[in-house]
Amino acid sequence: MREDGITVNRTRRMALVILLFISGAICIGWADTWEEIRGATGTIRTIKADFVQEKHLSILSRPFISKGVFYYQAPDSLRWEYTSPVRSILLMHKGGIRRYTETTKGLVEASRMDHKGMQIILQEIALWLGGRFSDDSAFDAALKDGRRIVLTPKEKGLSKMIEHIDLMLSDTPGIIKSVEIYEGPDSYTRLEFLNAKINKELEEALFREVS
Amino acid sequence: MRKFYLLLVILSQMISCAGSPELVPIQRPLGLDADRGCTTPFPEREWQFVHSIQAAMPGGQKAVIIGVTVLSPKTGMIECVMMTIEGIVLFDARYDGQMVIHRALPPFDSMDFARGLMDDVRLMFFPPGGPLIASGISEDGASICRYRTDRGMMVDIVIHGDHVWEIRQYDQDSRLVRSLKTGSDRRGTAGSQNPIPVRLELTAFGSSEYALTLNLIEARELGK
Repeated sequence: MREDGITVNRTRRMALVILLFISGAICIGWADTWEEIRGATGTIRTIKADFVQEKHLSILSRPFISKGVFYYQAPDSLRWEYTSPVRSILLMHKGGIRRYTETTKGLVEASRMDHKGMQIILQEIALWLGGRFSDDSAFDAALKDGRRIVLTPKEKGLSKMIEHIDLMLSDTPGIIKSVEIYEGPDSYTRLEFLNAKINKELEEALFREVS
Repeated sequence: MRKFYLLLVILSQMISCAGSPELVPIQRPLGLDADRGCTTPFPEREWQFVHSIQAAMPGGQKAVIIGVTVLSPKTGMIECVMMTIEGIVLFDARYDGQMVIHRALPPFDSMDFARGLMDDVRLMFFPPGGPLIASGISEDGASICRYRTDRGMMVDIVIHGDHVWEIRQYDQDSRLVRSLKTGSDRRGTAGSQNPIPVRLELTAFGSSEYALTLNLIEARELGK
């Protein structure tokens, strides 16, 4: 009886090890080279995901948290929507970028992009989601161990604004797990993506209109 | 021709004064010991505030940014960070007897901007630095305390009955240069004597007029 119990335990352990190997084999291998990343992201038509943004600053006793949702449609349509604490929607579609922010008069379109920096980040996000790191004119990309990509600005002007960006790729092929944007040693923004849904149909209006 | 220029100068002076109401008269004067209530709007200890700031600038430009302020009323220290909703820091500076700018992206990269911002924060959160010169009741029944600052300006602290208070700052010619109004909503914070106003509306008058609406996102008393 005891021997049977040991055999069952061994069998379970073996099954667990095999399962781990299989899952490892599925996950490892999609982010070892730029070609693999491009191949994995090439199958992605749409993404919808929630995000949590943590702003870390030396002045803040704890990170400032914002939450939202984003929608992506290949090749370069993006809706980046903050739901709290301030509702704000950035739309990027067919080369145009618009921003709407909640004010005392409701959602109001900004007269122009509040800052060039966000325009760059939005265009970058669309490039990353499409796996087109080599097309990036603003950043040099380096592929590191552990599904990590480090982006450093090519131009001095941009490096005054952003020191570097760390991208962590998800276990799921083609998906980014988190982004960390470093402005300096004491200031960085961490974006974590959750509940990603891939290749679900998205209305084109999502990228054109705020409601 | 000279007369024409003179007329132009007078006209421009009249126009620039038109948007700046003059000192509000005190109807029923009170003694100079009646100012205790006028210090209640100001925090006594070290605080950290996070606001969303709706800015209306000259030329109709509008923007919403996030402002983080840390202040120490005892030492006069102010730290300010302004960033976009996406977290990009536009301005980061500290004033503690002297100004230290850690980061300033255009168009916020001038010392004048830094000084002006610190002055506005000081007006909003610190009691006026100077003696009380008058106090009393205004025409609409609000309590007024009038201070003369060390820069020769005058500051009125106006307390209305509905928990709304105002700060009015006048220049040496008694023209209104800044006006701060609170909403009536307050947020109570554990351990603090005075609930924090949820909304602050600052209007700057003069050659470069602007308006800021600050909505409180977070208030934290530090060093507790």
